Amino acid sequence: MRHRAVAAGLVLAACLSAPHAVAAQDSSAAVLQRARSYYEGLDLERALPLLRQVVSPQWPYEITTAQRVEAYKYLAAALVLVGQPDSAVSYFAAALARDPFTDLDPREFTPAQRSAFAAARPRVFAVAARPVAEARVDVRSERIRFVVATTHRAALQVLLRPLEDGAAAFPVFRGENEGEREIAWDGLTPEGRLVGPGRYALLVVGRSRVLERTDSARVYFLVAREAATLEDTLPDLRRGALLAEHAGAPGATRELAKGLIIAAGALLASSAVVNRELGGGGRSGARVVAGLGVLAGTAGFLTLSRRHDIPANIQANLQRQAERRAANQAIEQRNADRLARAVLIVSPAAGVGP
Amino acid sequence: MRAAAALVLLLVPAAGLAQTPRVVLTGSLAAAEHRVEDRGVGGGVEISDGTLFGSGVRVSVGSRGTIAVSGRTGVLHPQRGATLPRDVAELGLDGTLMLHPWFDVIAGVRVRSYTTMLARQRWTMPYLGAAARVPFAVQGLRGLLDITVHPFAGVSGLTRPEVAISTGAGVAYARGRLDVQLGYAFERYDFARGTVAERFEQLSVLTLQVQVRALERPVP
Repeated sequence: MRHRAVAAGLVLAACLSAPHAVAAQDSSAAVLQRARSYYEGLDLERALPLLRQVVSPQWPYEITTAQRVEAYKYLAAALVLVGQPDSAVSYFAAALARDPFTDLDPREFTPAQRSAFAAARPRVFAVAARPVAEARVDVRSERIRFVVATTHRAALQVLLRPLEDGAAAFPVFRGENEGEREIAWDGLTPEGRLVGPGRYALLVVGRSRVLERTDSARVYFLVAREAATLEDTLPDLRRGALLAEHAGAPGATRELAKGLIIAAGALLASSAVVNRELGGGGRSGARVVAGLGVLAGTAGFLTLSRRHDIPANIQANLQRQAERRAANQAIEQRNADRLARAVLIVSPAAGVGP
Repeated sequence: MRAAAALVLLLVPAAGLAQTPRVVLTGSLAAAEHRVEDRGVGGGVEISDGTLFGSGVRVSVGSRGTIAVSGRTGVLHPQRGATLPRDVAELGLDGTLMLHPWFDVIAGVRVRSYTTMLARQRWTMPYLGAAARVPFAVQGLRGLLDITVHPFAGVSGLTRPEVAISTGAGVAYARGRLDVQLGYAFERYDFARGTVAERFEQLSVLTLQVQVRALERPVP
């Protein structure tokens, strides 16, 4: 009975804790929203405690990096307004450390705030890359765009590394950078070949020119080629599709018949016409001539059976083959055009690479 | 003889006679076998054989006709049933008219004599027949067939034969001016069939004949 009561209590606790994560997100967002409302209404006495609570390590609710960065940013901005610029610079630096893309909109923030923000930039060094936006890119006319950032002036190197086949990374940007930068990539490897489909890492490595520190970041993305529907080339013309180019002359068998007629004539002369009363006679001569007749017929047959060209058929076959070749060349050209369009589908990749 | 000549003149067109004649000289070697049975005498079948030599000349008449004169002679030696050798001599006047490239009408007359030490028998045989040439695909090679009847054959000392027919077949090959023929010919004569004077004769001849065209362009 007692065990049942404990189990029921655990189930109840589980049911009550399930929506807690969602509620925590909502709590952080709601508190931030309230803090921003106080800030925009210049009710800084109320805004500052709320923002300090949010960035406090004791903040009991889950908070995303973006929420934390926003909290630092508005906390710093509020501190500028209340005359605490040094603290403001520290919080701006904290925001930049977590998100180098952090910036202040001049329409929303005062020059003093932006000045404090600018003072915070050299104090922290970080690099970042935005997740690659999903896009369909025809590399003949469009570019794949990456957005990277450094908190302040740095030597920046942006590399692409195929994560399959152990291929080496290759640079898509190398140079000095300060702040946000958009990098356009033509989809080609250093060898000038269209990049293959697969999973890629965008590596951003920066070396601060101010702090002599190095930082790196990476994002993953997928590259796929838009499947082009290709035409199949026509098969080669086979024997059945071509006319016979060689043949024996017509009448070859007639030659044999002629020979047999001569042979029959000789044999008939010595048999059908012969007078039986005389016991035949002279048949050997008839047989000689009959054999000669058969030989003559065979010779004629062999002469006509000899292979010879049929020029009309040869010409027709050449024309058919030329037409087939032309058709296949046209198909290959159309296929090449389709492949040359080289449309890449770029999408962000989930998870982390190897 | 006169009838055959008249027939040839009738068949050969007059215009053809005016054209330049082509002349062909012939020579022949023949193996002949002669069989005869005279039931009136009752000696059974007499067989004799031998070799005949012949020669002749043939002249073209127009584009379609020819006239030939030929002769042959030899000795037929007695074999089974025969006792005496027979000398054979023959003269012939032959005419042909080509009706188609492969078909000729032939007519002529042959005069033949069989001579033994005891007697001589003379044959006069006008004939009319047809001959066919069968060209083969091998250039210059052709087959020959002919059949003739001798309705007016006359033999000295005998009645006119009731059956007088001859047939032949051969193969010829022409190259250049030469034409070589190997032919088999068979002649059959039946006299007084069904009577006590019944007599049968036949002659079979295997002939190798060589012809030389003397006055025409050679066949390539």
